[in-house]
Parts: sequence; C-alpha cells; structure tokens
Amino acid sequence: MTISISRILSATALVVGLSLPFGAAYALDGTLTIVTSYPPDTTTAFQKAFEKKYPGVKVEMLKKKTTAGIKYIQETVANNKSDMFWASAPDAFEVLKGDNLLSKYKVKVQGIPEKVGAFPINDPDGYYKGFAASGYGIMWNTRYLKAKKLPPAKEWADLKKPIYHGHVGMSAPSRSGTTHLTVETLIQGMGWDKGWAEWKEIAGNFNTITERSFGVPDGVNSGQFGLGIVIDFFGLSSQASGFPVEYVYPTVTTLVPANIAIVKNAPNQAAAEAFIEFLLSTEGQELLLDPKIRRLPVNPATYAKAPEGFPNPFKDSSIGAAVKFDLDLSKGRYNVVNSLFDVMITYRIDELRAAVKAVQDAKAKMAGKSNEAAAKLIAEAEALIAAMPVSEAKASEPDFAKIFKKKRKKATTKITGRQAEVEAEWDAQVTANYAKAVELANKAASML
Amino acid sequence: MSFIAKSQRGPVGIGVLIALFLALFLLVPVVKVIYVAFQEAGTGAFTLINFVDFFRSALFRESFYNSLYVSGMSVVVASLIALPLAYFTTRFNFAGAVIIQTLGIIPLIMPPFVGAVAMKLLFGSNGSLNLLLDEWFGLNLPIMEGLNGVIFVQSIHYFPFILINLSAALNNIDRSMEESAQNLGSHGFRMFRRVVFPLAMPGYIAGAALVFIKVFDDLGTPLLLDVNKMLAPQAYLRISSIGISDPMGYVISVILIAFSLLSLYVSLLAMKGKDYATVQKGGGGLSKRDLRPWEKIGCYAVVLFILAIVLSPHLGLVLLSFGTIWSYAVLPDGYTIAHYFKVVGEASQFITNTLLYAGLAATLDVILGTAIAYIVYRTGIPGRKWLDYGATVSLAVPGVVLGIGYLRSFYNVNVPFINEPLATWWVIIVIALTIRRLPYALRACIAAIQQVSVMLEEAAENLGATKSHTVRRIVVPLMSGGILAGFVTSFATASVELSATLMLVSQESDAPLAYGIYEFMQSASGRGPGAALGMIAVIIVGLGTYVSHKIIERTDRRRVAARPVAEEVTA
Amino acid sequence: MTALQTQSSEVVIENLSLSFGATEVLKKIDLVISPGEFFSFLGPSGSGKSTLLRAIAGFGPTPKGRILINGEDVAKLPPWERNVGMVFQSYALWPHMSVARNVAFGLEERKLPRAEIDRRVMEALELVDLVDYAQRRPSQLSGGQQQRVALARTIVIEPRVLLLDEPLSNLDANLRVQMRRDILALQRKLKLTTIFVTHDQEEANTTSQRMAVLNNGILQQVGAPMELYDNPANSFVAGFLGTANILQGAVKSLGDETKFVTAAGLQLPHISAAPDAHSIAIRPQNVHLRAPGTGGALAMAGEVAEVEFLGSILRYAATLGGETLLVDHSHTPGEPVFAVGDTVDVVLDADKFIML
Repeated sequence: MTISISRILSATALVVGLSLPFGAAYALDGTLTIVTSYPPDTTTAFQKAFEKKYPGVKVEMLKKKTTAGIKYIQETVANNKSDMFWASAPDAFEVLKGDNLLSKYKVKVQGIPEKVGAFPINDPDGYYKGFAASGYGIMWNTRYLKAKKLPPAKEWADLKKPIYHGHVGMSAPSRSGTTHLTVETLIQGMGWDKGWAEWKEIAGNFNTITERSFGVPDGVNSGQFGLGIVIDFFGLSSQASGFPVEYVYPTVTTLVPANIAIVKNAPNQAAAEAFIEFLLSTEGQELLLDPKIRRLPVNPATYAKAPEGFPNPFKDSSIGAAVKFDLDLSKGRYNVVNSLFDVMITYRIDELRAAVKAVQDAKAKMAGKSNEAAAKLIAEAEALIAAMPVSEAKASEPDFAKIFKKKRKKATTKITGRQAEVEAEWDAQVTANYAKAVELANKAASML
Repeated sequence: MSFIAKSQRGPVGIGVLIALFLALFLLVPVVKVIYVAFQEAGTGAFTLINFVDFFRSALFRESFYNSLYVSGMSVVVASLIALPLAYFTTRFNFAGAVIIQTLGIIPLIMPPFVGAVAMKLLFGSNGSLNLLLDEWFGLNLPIMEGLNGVIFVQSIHYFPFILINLSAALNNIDRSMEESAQNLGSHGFRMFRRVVFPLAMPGYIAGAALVFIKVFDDLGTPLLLDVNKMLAPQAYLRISSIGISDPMGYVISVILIAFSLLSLYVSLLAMKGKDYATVQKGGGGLSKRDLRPWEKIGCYAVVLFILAIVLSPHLGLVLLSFGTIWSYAVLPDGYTIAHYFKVVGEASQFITNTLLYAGLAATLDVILGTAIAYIVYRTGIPGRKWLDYGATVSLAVPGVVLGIGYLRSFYNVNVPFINEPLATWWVIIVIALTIRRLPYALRACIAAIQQVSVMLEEAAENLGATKSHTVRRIVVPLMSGGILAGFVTSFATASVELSATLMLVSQESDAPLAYGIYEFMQSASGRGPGAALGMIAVIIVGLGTYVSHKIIERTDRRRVAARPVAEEVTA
Repeated sequence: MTALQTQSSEVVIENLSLSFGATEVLKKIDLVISPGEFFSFLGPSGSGKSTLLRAIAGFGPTPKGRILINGEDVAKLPPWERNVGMVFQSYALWPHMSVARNVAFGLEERKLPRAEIDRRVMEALELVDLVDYAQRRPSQLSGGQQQRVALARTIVIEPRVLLLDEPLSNLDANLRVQMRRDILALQRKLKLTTIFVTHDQEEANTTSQRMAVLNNGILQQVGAPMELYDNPANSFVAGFLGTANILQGAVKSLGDETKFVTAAGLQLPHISAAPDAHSIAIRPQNVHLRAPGTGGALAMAGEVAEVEFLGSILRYAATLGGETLLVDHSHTPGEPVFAVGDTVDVVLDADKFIML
C-alpha cells in the first residue's frame, strides 16, 4: 500500500515537474535539512538563492566536518532527519553508499559532461552527483616567503627541497577527505613505494599536520607556516578574501568533483531533488564563481561568465588530466592508507622530520664532493625512511583491509589481527627505521 | 527500622528521581559508548585484549605520558599564575584586588579554541611576539610549539579554578591562626609556607585536581594546536575517523574516564581529615595590611604582568575582530567594524540560544546541586553519598563521549507531541550542558550547605516548620550566596562549551554561540566575523557573570549585617 | 623543676592611643605593669581591653604613644620581633600540625638546634602535663587540653611577657576554675609577667595582683582588686566591680545637715565629705530592711518591689522616695521573708557610702 502511494506521489511530482517550464517553481514546502562540510560563505549563498526560488522551503544547513557528518548520518540512521549530504570528498560519499545510506537520483538538468579531468563527475551507480570540481595544489603566503627569502613551490617535488624544511603544512588524510584524495592521487600517479617515499620526503619538511583541512589555509593565511597543500577553493577564496596568498595547480594532480547526495529515507525528498536541480542549473552554477566560494563549475556553459584568469578545466587540459584516478583501488585501501599515513607521518612527525633533516644535512655536506662510503650510507638512510611496513598488494587485500573496517557484514566474519595490534607493529618498525636513518646520515656527514 | 522514617520520605523520593536522571543521562549513554572497548572486534565477545593492545603500543604509551605531563605542567603553571593573585587579594589592602577578582574569571568565559586561535597569532612561531623578538634580538621563543602551547593555553584558561578555590580557602582561615604564628616569631613567606598555605591546602588541592582533570580530558585545545600525541585527541581522532572500526578510541575513553576518577579519588584522599574550616565567631579572614609604596609598585607590576598574559587571548580576539587582514605581521594591516555588521544579523539567534541553554542548564544545575547537597549532608538516607559521586563523575567524562552516547541512546526515542527524536531536540543540548556542568554547581552548593549551621534548621523545626518549609525558608536563603556562585560558574562555562554541543546540534537554528564561532572560523573570510562573534560572546557572558556577582555581593552583605554581632567588636 | 628560662619584664604603656579608621578605640592609656606581676585588663565588651592586649602583641593598627618592655619601645615593631607570648581566645592551634609540632613552631622559627627544640618541647609539655599527647592532632584533644597546648606553645619560647586573651571563655564552668588555678600556679612558678584579659570580675579578682578597668577605650582605674572594690574611682568602676546602687544627685545643705539629694528627691542622711560629688554608690549589703517601726531613728519607709533568692543571700528591690535600691540580706533558714508589696523600714549604713 504505502509503496504504491509513494510511487503515485513521486510519479505525479515527476509529471508536474516535467510539465512546467524549466526554472519555474512548483509548490514545495517544509524544511530541507542538509548535512554539509561547507563554510557559511558557500552555504548561505545557496540557501538564500534556493529559499528565494522556493519560498515555501526552509533550508537548514547542518554544518559538520566531513568525517563528523558521516558519523552523524551513520549514528542517526534509525530515525533519519537529514535530507542531503553535501561535501567535497567522493570517498566520503563512497562510505555512505557502502553503508547503504544514500538513495539514487537521476538528474534532469542537461549539458553536464561525463568527466572533469580524468574523473567521472557523477557516481556511476547514480547515488551521488558532482556539482563542482576541485583540484589540489599548493598555496603560499607571499609575505612569509619574502621574509624568509624563499621561492614559491610549484610542483609537489619542490616541496621536498631542504629550503622548505619546517615551512610546509598539510592536513592528515584520516581527518580530511580532500587530503586523502591528494595523498591517494600522488600514490596512484607515482606508484605505491615511490609515492609514499615522496610523501615522507615532503612530510619531512612539514611544520604542522593540522587536524582540520581548513587548518592548512588558516595556517598559511596567518603566516604560521609558509606553504600549504590544499584544495583549490581554500587557496582561491583566501586570496579573494584579501590574504597575501597565491595558489597553483601542480602538474601531477587530479580534478575531482565535489558532490551532493540525497540521504536514504529523506524526510523531504521533493525539496532535496529540487535542490540538486537548482545546484546544477545555470543559476546555481554561477553562484560558484563568487570570489568567496570559488569552485570550478561542472556545467561548462557557466565559464562564459567567469572572471578573467578563472581556471577552466574543460578548456585547459593542463589541469588535472595527468593522472587517471582509480576509484575502486582508492576505495579498497581507503582506511589502510589513512592508517599508514597516521602511523608513519602524523604521529611520528618529529622522528620523521629529524630523519629527513639529517639526510638533507648530509646531502648538503656532500655537495660537490665524492665519497662513495658516505653516499652509500645516505642512500641507505633514504631507503630506511622510504621503507614501507606493508606492500601495495597486501594493502589492497580485502581480508587485510577488513581489519580497518567498521561494519562487518556478519558477526561470524573471521578477522585475523586487530588494528591496534597491526599499527603498533608498524609503529615499532617505522620508528626504528627513522632512528637508524638519523644515525646513518649523521655517520655519513661525519665522514665528509 | 526496616522502612524509612516519615520525615525522610520526601528526600528519598527526590533522591531516587535524581539518581534516575543521572543514570539515564550520564551512566547509560557513557556505557553505550565505552562497552565497545570491551568487545572483541568482529565477534562482540567480552575481552580485555584491547587494553593489552593499548599498553603494548608505543604511541599510546607516549600519548599517555604526554597527557600526564601536560596536565601536571598545566597545574604547575596555573598555580604560578593563581598563587600570587590569590595571595595579594587575600593579604593586602590592594586596589588591584577588584581587578583581579573581576578579570580572574574572564578566561573561563572564552571558548578555549577561540583562545587558541588568538594565542597562535600572538605567541606562535611567526606570531606578533616572535616577529618582534626576531626583529630586535633575532630570538624565537617556542611558546606555542607542541606540548608547550597546550600547557600555555590550558593554564591560562583554567587557572581561575585554582584562584577561586584557593582564595575561598584563604578567606576561611581564622586570623588568629596567622597571628599566633607571628606571635611566635614567624612572618612573611616563611609563615605563608608553614602555616597559611597548609591551611589553605584543601582548597588548593580541589582547584588543582579540577585543572588536572579538565586538561587531561580536554580535546579542543590540543586539536586546535595540532597536537595529536595525547590521549584525548587520540580518542577523538579514532572515534571520528571515517568508517574506522578501531575500538582503541573507546579504550582510550575508558582510560581517560578511569584516570580522571582516580585523580578525583586521590584528591579526596589527600583532603581527607584536612577540613580546616578554622573561621570562628564570624571574625574570619586573614588580616590585610596596607602596602608600602614600593611594595605596591611591585604588586601592581606582578599583577599587571600576569593579567597581560592571561588576557592576551582576549586582546588577540579584539584585534582579530577589528582587523582587516592579519597575516605574518605584528598587527593587522588595517581596522574595520565590518565584521561586527556581518555577524549582527546572525548573532541574535546564537545569543538567544546560548542564553536559553546556559541559563536553563545552570538553573537545573543549582536545583540538582542544592537537592543533592541537602540529601548528602542533612539526611541519613543510605547510599546518599553515591548521588554526590555520581554527579561528580561527569567531570571525568569527555564531552565527545557524552555527545556520541546521547546520539546512540536517544535517537530512537521520540519526544511525544514534538514528534522529533530526543537526540535532535534542542532540549538534549540543555541536558548535556546540565550534566557537564553539574559538578561545578554541586561543589558550590555543598560548600554553602556546610556553612549553614544545623542549629538554624533545628530552630525552624522547633518552631513548627516542616522539612520542606525549613528547606525553603531557612536552608535555601542561607545558601543563596553559594547557590548563585554555582549558577555563575555553571552558566559562564556552559555558555562556551563546544565539545558536546558540536555533536548534538542538529539544526543551525538551534546552535549556540560557541558553535557559531567555530563555524565561522572554518573559512578564510570568516575569521574576522568569527572573532567578532567571539567578542560578543565574551561580553555577554561577562556581563551576565558581573551581574550575578553583584547579586552575590548584595546577599553576602545582607547576611553579614544579619549576623549576630560577636564579641570581637574591637578585635 | 623546669629548666625553662623565664624573665620578669616590666611593661610600661605611655600615652597610648589607637584608632580603627575614624573611631578612636583607645584613648591616652598610661599604665605600668611590674616585673613578674599577674595583671588583668577588665572591662565590658567593646571597652578596648582586647585591643590594648593586641597592641602589646603588635596586632591591629599601629598605635600612637609608647609601649616599653624593659625600657625598649616595641610599639612600632612587627609582632614577630617582640617576643611576647600570646594565648588566643580560640587557642589558634594549627590543625595540620601535631601537638609537638605546634609547640616546636616558635623554637623552629628561632632556628634552635633540633635537639634543643625537642628537649624544650618535652619540658613545656611536661609543664602542662601533656607529654603523652605529643603526637596527637589538636582536633583529638578536649578543650582544656587544647588550652594547655596553647599555653605550652607560648611559654616554650620564653617570652618577655605572657598575654592571655580571655583564655577561659571557651571552657565549661568547672574546668574554668581548675584552669584558672593551673594558670596561676604556672605563672607563680615561672614568675612571668602576665597580662590577662577578661570581662569576668571573678576571674580577675581571684588571679590578679593588680588590674586595670577599662571602659570605652578609657582607663578607669588601676589597683589591687580589693582596693578597686572598696574605693572605686567612679560610678562605672563601682558598678562594674560587684553590684552597687548608684544614685545621681547633689550634696545640699538642708538646715544644719548636709544631705545628698537624688534626682528623684530622696534625701540621704549625713555624708562625710566630697561636697562636689554628684553620685553616690551604696553596696546592696549596706542596705537593710526591717519590719515597719523597727528600723530605728534613721530608717526610711519603703516598699518591697521584688524578691530574688540567690542561695546564700536574698536580694530585694525596695522603692523609697522615688528610687529603687537593691538590698542583699544573708539568708538564714527559717527566718521570715518579706513579700512583694510589704511596707518596710529601710536602713542605710551611712558610713559605707561611696561618694563619687
């Protein structure tokens, strides 16, 4: 009974929706509750515009950090009051989709391409939709770099340079969905071992690993550290707010869509659907160009109205096309990558910093000289820093990944090993390696 | 005597209600969260292996050590700040005493995370102070680096707990205690160390234990300073990470709670048998003496130096709220009042919510606190002490644990008529604040009831007043000073609470100020408006506190006047 | 025998005035207390007796005038440099220290060698008979024991003067008498100049060699207890020490007789001297009631207004000539008692009138 009634209702809505000229509002009312990780600048703009268009609807923006938002929707599933989830990281949507907490929706707006860069804009399964694209890059504080007499870094590899030691900031992938994508992108682009080695070398120059993704632009803006690895809109909107900062897309990066989805059993399904349509309409897409929001629209037509210098990923192939992003690979090892990053980098940043610094110093001393024994020691030290406690194959093994997974399908599912146990092993290995690396590098330096 | 005496039936009923309230809103939610710590991953069977894992992990051991170190050092630094302030105000006729008392509470009414933002700008490695030091002397002081920063921010935020408790204890020392020491040839600092301070010890320990526990459990400050190798942040990071099943977050929560309980217990043991309420015949308080001019200058210098440090977060916040762009510079580039205009529209909602929530929570707290204090100290109901313990235990429960516990426990409970889950109804925020701040109000109420002589109640009963009339007409009016003090502390601290509310706000129209500030501070253009909102919060809560203080002062004066004039008119 | 070295110091107070803010609470006090004397300050609440004692110890506002101990002016010295021992009304024992530590405190402040401190503490405790209680906390002692600890703590430092601030007021009646005797015995033994503050004349009378009566911050009279009782300098002293009927009036010549005429018009017969006296004090035991007509020539007619039975005496209040007089009559069992309303003859011992 209920099913047929709701079917009739939604069918009616569909008919009504289609029969009206596009953009004209049909009667919608009630409260639309959106769980979002976006800052007020973004949410307020869309809320106002949407409420203006549909005066009967009151939009409630429930602001949660992406991770907390997921937690919230998971915890409240039994009596769901949220209509939509609106955030950047596709991985976050993957988690919710995996937990069967989203509902499918087919978008009616036309003209949105399949892909942005190498990344599909919409979830192939139809659960979440891309509404804007975001790329990862480097932002820097011009005053800071001037005072410290440093050149800006334009590529990821630049951040490894000894001159940046102690000047770089980043968030942890376990804390920020967007940061996770950055980490995963580089690893996919360079390969497991090389990618991680690259990250450790960069991290050796870190000043701070911030708890929130916004902590990075905040740190660069206030001059706490000079350079930050951030998602584009953080850099662009900081610049637009008047901070003395600049932003670049490095060559190896990916553009990923920022997404929106309707939560399963949404109390106000009709308004939720209307919001998606609005977001993807020309009207909604143009709001993204606001200097305080600064996201790349997924509707190519919108770029006609963009200010000069606004990057257009649909025209400029240099943005985000270089890496092909394998979403399934990313999904399979999501928690393992987070955990690895935390164990090797976040929680051992002091040890890692010391090791990388020792190698940097030894290399600086080595410059222009030739000493085979010392060079060998330095190479050994670098290898120790780069050493991975777990191989790529192992990281993607479903049985291994399960140790880090929350929901088990069945209570009987056998799992060998506990996360804390595994992490403690990794930690012991990694700290020993870093300590040994310092020793070797110092030994090498003393030989020069 | 198998059933309860008639005169105790009322208190028993109330006691049972309070016990139920505590069980429902404290015990059940917390147990719902932490039982995971005792489950085997996958099977759900009972196990202690997770605790073995905890102590086997070098990272957790370090975090544990760091938490201990930070809490201990915060107590030391907070004591260094509070001791001179308490000493000056209680010992000298010193006009600065008013400043100290007024400003001594202000740090408590600033959300610690806001303070951390401001402190980074002022004292960070590239903050104002270090930029100046670098320019002048080529120096860089690592004040805000790593654990130092946490200790610094926490000490500045929590030292009022020591100041308030220590001042109260000093004021309760009978003057003759000090005079007899002087008479026997002791004076100055030596006398303070040998006689005065030991007598004030219970108050000091109470304050220090509170600081220790709050710092041990606090999450916001280490997170804002990006320090994660401590227990509370480790618990939070693990609990709130995407889809991670690691029970370690819950294990750490259990350890946090257990260790906080242990500290409470140790502090109780340390105070046992040391209840030196030495004031006799109402002629209390140490004698205050006038300062010689150079001493006055010295005192002012010390007090102003301490105040400058203690109020630096507020200074930073003022600059931030009026500043245009503040980036790698000693001061903002320019000044504007635009941020205030920006928030003024949105602020009113946050302000009404905050006043409503904190006001309701503080009211509930003093009602519960008075009832518990009365039951514990004036009735013989078996197990009455457990009400006190139960209410106090919430000190040891991190806000995040309580928040998650509420979501787990009350999401399926629909509120009748409102037709909304209890977990998303705004009232749950009030209940969370009530539970979180109950220990503060309870301490104040207990202190107050201990100062009311039982004889005064007996006199009322003798004249025919029933128990409930006696409570209403004698006990509560006599406790009013303490009750108000409890209200003020609960109100002020509830107004800036974030950790539990962050989990429980389910729609923006229900959000309190601290939440609004936190939200603003999440975007590049929102830092100024966030700071402006923070200033508004500080001013409003400050005003509320000031008004309540005035009321307390008036009731106190009335009570002093009503006190039978003792023999010591000349003494 | 004790090894405590004690001194008998002279205390001289010269022109001492003291104010709390605008209120002057001690007015130009001059007093000499002899070495080894047991001296009391007696007066009602608010008379300034405690303030004067505290001024000698160095507590309270700095007074004007001089306080000389053995010739040294200590008025401006801080308390800890005066070496005068004070026992506080509340005893002020420190609850966080044992009895022994309390007693040792003053010696430790004087940085004496440990061995000597221990020896002297034990001696002092022996003196007050509390050796067995050395390791107890003050809260574990009775009021009398606490009092003795306070005494031991004070005398162990061998003070120049011993000051006692109403030390007996917190004890019950029986203990008070016992303690009074103990204190006196100790004082005699140590020959310590002792100043005792009390509002209880019995305490002062029984202990003191001399005493000073204070009222409203003014020194009224100094002298031995009996001397003050018999020859009070003014109506305050007369009224405060024992009971007295104090009648206001003036000396008038009526015919060939000199009489004291009270305000109400009562004429009192022959008085000896003091033509400018404006009040007269008559002790109740110097007024007698007789059955009407049996009082003799000098008797005056009066009426019984009240009767109180006080054990050894009957105290009547009788009205005559507009005045009410208290009359003490030794109680003898079986003797008839006047009732309220009885008309009586009132007989006054004119030779015992105290003209003021």
